[in-house]
Amino acid sequence: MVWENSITLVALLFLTTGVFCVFFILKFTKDKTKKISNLRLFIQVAALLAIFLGLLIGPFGTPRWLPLGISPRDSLVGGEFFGNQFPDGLSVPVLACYYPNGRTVTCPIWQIQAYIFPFWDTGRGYDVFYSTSGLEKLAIVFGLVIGMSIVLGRFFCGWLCPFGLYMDLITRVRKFFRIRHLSFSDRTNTALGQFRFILIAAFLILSFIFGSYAIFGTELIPGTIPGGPLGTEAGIVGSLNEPFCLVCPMRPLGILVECALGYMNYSYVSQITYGPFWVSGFYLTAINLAVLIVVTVLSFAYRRFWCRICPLGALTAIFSTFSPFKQIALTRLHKNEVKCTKCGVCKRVCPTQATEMFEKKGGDVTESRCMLCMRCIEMCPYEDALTLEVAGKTVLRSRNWL
Amino acid sequence: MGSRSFQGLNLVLVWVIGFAMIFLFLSNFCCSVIGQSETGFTTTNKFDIPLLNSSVSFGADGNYKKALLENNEWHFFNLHFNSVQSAEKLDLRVSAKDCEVTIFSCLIYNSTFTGERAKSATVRYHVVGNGEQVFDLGLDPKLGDWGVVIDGVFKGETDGWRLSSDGTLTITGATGNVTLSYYGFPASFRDSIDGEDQIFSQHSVVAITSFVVGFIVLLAASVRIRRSSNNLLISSNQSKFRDRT
Repeated sequence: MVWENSITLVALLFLTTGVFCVFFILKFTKDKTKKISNLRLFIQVAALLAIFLGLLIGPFGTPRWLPLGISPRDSLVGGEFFGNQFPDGLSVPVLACYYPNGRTVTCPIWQIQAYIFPFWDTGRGYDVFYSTSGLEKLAIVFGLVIGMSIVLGRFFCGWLCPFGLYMDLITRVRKFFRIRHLSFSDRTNTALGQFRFILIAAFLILSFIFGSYAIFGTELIPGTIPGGPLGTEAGIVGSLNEPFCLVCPMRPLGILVECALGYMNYSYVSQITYGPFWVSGFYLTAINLAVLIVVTVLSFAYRRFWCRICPLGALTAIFSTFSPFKQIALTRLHKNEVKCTKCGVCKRVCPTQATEMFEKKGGDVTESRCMLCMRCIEMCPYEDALTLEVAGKTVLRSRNWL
Repeated sequence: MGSRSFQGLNLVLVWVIGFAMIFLFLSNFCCSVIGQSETGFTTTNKFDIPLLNSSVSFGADGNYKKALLENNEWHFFNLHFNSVQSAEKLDLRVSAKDCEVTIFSCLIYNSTFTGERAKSATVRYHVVGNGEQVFDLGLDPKLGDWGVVIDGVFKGETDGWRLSSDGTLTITGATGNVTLSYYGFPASFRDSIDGEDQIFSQHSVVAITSFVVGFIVLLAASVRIRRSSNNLLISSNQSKFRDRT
């Protein structure tokens, strides 16, 4: 039937449902301090479904519920949108991990690493073919990330990231048991915020070191010569492609959830290894699992723990809250100095312990730690003290809910 | 009279079509019989390269149309093995130095890559003696990737083998079993490789991305400038109002 494979129809259905649900939430949420939070939860769930749309409807152009087989990359939806110039999917600054099935978009961190090493040259990739060089692919990734960051800033972190949803659900579980959260000292929180920039820089430098042969024609680490039809066989560093993905907690979360739901064959995960799968697997490593466990535990105690050290968040922050991008970023948090009474509610409710909206006198109070969850606007009890402005227009303002 | 000539014409046409069909039917047998001038080889045949102290033989029976030794290189035309009838007949150029090569299989076949048809090839051989082997299957190195496995170990390029720009593979230092695999790119990829006159289409994604980002930056900058000028106007109006009062 035509409707099964109609992208337009599916997109319209999705949008209509979304608009209806948004209206429903805004209209029928009586508690004014929960309206935006409820809306955000809905948007996060909708974003999760949109990111893994391939699991729901199957790859476009093929029958529904097609068995996904054993390869986690079989069901990338829209991966061929740009053809073989950019076949890994649209870069969106959320942790839409490359490895799970059914993705519609891709994590830019994976793309940046992979296009430096091992896919700097044109040619074969992971079951795809690149007709553009690594430099060109990187230009596309950075261009997309810069464009999106300028338009929406860290809105992606607060409203669209699947790992953010995971941490918010953990927070809701904690609240259900009426357990109070912990907070870092300002000094520690600031240090964590700076650490994420070091993290992203470190992994990019590592990728350049691994890819030195392809980029500069000389090996900085023995064994990094390109080779093999899959582009991964490169001597001793063959198992160190995409170094950040070896520690990222989203990878095991996405893969294990899909295995548990039956959308991925677990034997594939455990068979594709360079040793014991839980140590040096291609799709799962011991470090991945350990980081996921640690982050989960810490997210129970500290709200949005991973967001404080997330390198992707750091990348988005660089292109939205630091000069020169800060001057032109379109989504800003604004404070009215006159109406603010310095009650401190905004500072207390902020999940990432951002403080600029409290400490700064007025004007643009967006900072790199702010993920634009708008909890401060929602909880601010003074009318128009805090507002969210997009392209100079106020789209959300604090209300007197007292 | 008209109808009679019409019937006559029909009769002629029927006979012509009938003869044509019989001829086409028979020509399959005739042509294949006429075209059959292949030479068979077995595992006992040895193709020596005296000046390089080497020889080439086959590990299975097959046929070739012609075999020539030119410039210390054996050139086999329309080579195929009896055990694999479905594979394409191929032209193989093989040379060796200071070793004995036994070729167990040499195939070019169609496979699929990301859903599209692509050409692949495999050569499996055994080598005795620490020498050099050279293979040329007439495959364009720009249109596919080569992989080399020596005694079960995958070798990166330049680690015991090299690929020349004309598609010739030279393997050095191998003793034992060697597998050469070629993974061809589908036709749609070839268009993007060969299209020297399609600069924009080869780089369309980065061009469009740059345009979109540039547009966003300009738009954001204009919003910023407009806002700044509005703020200036408001503050200047406020100061004028204060001055008057």
